[in-house]
Amino acid sequence: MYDDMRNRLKDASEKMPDTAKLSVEKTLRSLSLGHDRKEKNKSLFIKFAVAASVVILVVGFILTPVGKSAAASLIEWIKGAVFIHGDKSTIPFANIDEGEYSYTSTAELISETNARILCRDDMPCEISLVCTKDVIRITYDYGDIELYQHQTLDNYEMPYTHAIYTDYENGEEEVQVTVCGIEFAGYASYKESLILGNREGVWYEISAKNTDVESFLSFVHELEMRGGES
Amino acid sequence: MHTDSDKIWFEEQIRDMQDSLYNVAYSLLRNHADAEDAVCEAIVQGWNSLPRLKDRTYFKPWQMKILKYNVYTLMRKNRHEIVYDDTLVEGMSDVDDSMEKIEERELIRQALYSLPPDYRLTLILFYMEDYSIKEIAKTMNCTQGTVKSRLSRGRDKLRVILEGGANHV
Repeated sequence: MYDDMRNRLKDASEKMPDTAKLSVEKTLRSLSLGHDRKEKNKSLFIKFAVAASVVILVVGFILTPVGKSAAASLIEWIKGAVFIHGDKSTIPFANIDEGEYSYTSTAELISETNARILCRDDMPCEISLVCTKDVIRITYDYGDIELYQHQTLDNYEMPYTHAIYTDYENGEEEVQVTVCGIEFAGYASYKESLILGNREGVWYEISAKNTDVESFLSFVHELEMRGGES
Repeated sequence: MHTDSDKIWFEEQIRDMQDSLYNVAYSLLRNHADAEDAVCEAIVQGWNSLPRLKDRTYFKPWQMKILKYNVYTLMRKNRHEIVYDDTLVEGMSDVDDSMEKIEERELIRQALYSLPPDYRLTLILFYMEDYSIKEIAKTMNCTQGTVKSRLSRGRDKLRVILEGGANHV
């Protein structure tokens, strides 16, 4: 029966037209090598020009009275951030997966309101996560992370798309998510956390109120423990 | 940083799987021009991201995953202006086959196209492209259990449609 299904489907495979094959060949030919000298020199020149401009602008700004004050504040902020983070710049981040296995990722706190999640899976997914008081933005290399309500954990095939949810209940918070330049809007389904996941059931649970490092860390540790239990 | 050997290797891999990439793209988009664009775009993205691929044994599902992302993005963008283009194009084998075979093939295709995209993609990868359950899970970023469930439900749906004949499609 399965073989019959396989044979019938195989026979119905869409054959690639010659025009598409030509396009693929053209695309392959147009791929450039990373060590192309001209490109490398051009890239180096651009980097140098940008760096020089930034240095000139920053030095010029610091020389002004406003700049001196701003620089002093920045130094204080960095000191505070270093003090808070200590050597915990990299912390485990549990990635809750309902299926047969679960991934564990690493979240690297970049600053008080920024976190970067690097998946340990062998697929190249790197997620940049930026959390502010009421906006959460996620950029993801190749994947469509979408918002899910908490109850869909039990039915992850429910195709929640990037619709704008307007149904507010029980103090849910509105959030916005940007994935690869596409804006998603929705709301946190929990008072203290937000469930994000792609539609195939890989889940990321993050706090919607992580306005400070400590609360984010405690939330992450809680997730870590939950991840360890699974 | 790409090297000459990277390029040779990449070209070989792409030539090897270009039919699969096109089949998946067209089966989801149902438009030759869009499918061609999606495949070429995915190839460029795959090449640019190749240095970040840690284990090249996973190249096939990885490249397919990039294509899937492009196709799904296009489907979202085109949601309200889908232009199906089911015409035969030069180089496609249908032109040499008997009318009966063409009709049978068309029936299967239409049944497949009527399935939701995730089910469609799962069936295509498993039955048409001979992907393993694990590879499909990698491609679709889901668990192997989800793949099995989609295969089972997709098969059932397809069977119901096919048994119903042309009235269902």
